[in-house]
Amino acid sequence: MEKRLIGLDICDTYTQVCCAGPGEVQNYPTIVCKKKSGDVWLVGQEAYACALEGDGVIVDKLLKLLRKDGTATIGGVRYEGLDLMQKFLECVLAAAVAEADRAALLQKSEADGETIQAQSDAAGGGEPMAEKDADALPAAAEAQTTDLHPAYDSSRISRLVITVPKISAKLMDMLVCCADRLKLSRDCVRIISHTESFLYYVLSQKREVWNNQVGMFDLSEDFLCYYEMKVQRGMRNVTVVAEREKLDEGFNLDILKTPSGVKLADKILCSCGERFLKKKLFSSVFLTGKGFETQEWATDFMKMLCVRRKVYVDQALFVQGAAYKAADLEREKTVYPYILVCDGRLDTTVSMKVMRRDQEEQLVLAAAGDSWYEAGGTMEFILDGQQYLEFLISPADPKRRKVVKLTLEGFPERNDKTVRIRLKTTFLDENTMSVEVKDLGFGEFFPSTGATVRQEVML
Amino acid sequence: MSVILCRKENVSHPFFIENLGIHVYTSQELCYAIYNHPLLALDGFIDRNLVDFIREELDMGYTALKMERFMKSGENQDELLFLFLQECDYYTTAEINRLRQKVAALRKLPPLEYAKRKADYLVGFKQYGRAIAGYEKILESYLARKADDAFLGKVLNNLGACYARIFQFDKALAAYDRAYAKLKDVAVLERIYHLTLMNPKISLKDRYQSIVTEEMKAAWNEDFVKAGEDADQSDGIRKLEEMFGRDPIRRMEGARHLLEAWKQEYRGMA
Repeated sequence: MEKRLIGLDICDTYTQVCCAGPGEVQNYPTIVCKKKSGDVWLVGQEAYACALEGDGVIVDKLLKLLRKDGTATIGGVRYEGLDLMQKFLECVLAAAVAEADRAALLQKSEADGETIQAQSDAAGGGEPMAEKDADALPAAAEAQTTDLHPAYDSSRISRLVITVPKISAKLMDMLVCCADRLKLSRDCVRIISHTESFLYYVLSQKREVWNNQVGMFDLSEDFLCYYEMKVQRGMRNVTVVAEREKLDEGFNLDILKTPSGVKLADKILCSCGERFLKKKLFSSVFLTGKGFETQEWATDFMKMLCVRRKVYVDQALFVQGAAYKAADLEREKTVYPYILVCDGRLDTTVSMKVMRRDQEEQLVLAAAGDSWYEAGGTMEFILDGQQYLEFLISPADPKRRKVVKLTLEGFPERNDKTVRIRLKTTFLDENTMSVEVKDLGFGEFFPSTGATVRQEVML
Repeated sequence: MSVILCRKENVSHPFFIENLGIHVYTSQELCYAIYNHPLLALDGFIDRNLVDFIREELDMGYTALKMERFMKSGENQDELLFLFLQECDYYTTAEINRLRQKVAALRKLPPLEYAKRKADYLVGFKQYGRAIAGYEKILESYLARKADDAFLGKVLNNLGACYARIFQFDKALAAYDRAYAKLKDVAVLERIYHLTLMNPKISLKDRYQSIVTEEMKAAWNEDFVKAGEDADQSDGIRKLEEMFGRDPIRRMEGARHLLEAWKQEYRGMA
């Protein structure tokens, strides 16, 4: 069976999932329902139906539950957020794989049908048997794949890219843990922010869509966010920077039920649009989120947007961005040869001066564009007459470049290149690097003193 | 002042440098041993075992290959050391050049002097067995016939000291006897006297009785007692006492480690 590349967008209210290739985007409320009879878990409309009939108990806001170490008690059993998310994802991923299989089968059967038709035409007219077979194929495909509760099988997933509105170390840890429980190897799972999904989505479009700046409004039930992407073409490489701003002007979508509310909402969006889009050259503007399912209510806003730029509406933008990334991870060489700077990635390069072949050079510990969650590592060095380490912090703006010195207090003072240290760097977020330096001694010549220094470096 | 990035080396079987009695786990440690103890690293230090270690454990296959070819070439084998140091990028070119000069100076020493320095160096690392072999070789050498008494006396004196350190007092006495014959130095007599104190079966020979006065004996006795007292206060004894003050389980564990260390040390000596 073919392995699937899956994009998954998890928010507090909704979850979308799709596979790279054929198949539709599937939309679910982020809830899970446990049937009272037996260990059966349901998602989507089935979950609501089960709860309404009184046959099951629903738990919602699963992402929040996960983030805050929350628990829920169902039928006298206490479930952690991680347990519930695991059950939810098992159902969602199994459905996504089944949907992709169904779509692939349909596609194949349609293609086969055309071939059979073409062969029969060449043979001199319609053969009733062949036509009958061709008609029967899509039905067979439907029958084969229409399973209400497909079983989850981790071996069917080759890549899974999960996108969440905002990246935090805690959420990343929990999702990675969840992926472990789903028996997905860590290499095949990536967690990215909505901002990064937005980047992948836009960069997957025609170049004219992102020649200049690209803006995006995400109007959801709970919030209004503005995203902006710009391309900085440098001498050596192209840097693509995207930012996300949660706007204070966010409103509840219920106000769209009244004419005065519609007017107000349109006015709010217009003022936001003017603020962000004025005096800048935009190639395109995207609209996403439940609030933009229809745009009739935002007449003035749409009028303002559709001037000298293209406007696109896509309700599944983030999940598609995630699927594009999943497909890219599978390739040997990326089709996005850019430095991507956004939420979840570093906007600063951290390096250290080292000696190599009698010459000083900068050793990059983490580069701008690296995922801060995955960046860092462990390296060993020999101190040659110095009792400190110096980190060069280089943000995109050269004026903000700085050197951070870490004094190695309590470390042995030997000047004959016999102080070996282990440097461990990890990133707590995109602005904080945690450094740990330990004296390793020098083999049997000089045993380790056990001296250790820890420090957090603000980038 | 700088920082050197270490290459990743997953050594599972360290290389044992017999002359130093030390295991090395990294290329940096091997470089350090060569650089700081060139006398011990010359003359056959780089052999097939070491090249295998460089290839398999340090994962420096290309360097090992270069070294093998050089070994077969018949050129000056000292260059092998410099080749390895250059490949490791631990010492700078200037530092390697300094070592080159040091090695050249050593090579210019008269053969007996060179051999004595090497044996003396081994004594510094408690490698008494190898040092004894080195001193004996000097004495057996045909060149020794032409050497002056002062030089041979020093060699014999050091040989006696080595035998004494491994508790072979008879051989130590014989070496000191010969050393005294060459040097006529009272300090050698003092050492012979101390041997008699350490081993009651040995006595001062008649020919020395007339030279060694009662005052001298009293002073040497005093030195001997003081040395014993100092030994009682040494770190080693203090640690031993500390160990015996512990609970029986930890004491036995400590004793096991110490005994193992002593065995290793004695094997190295002999």
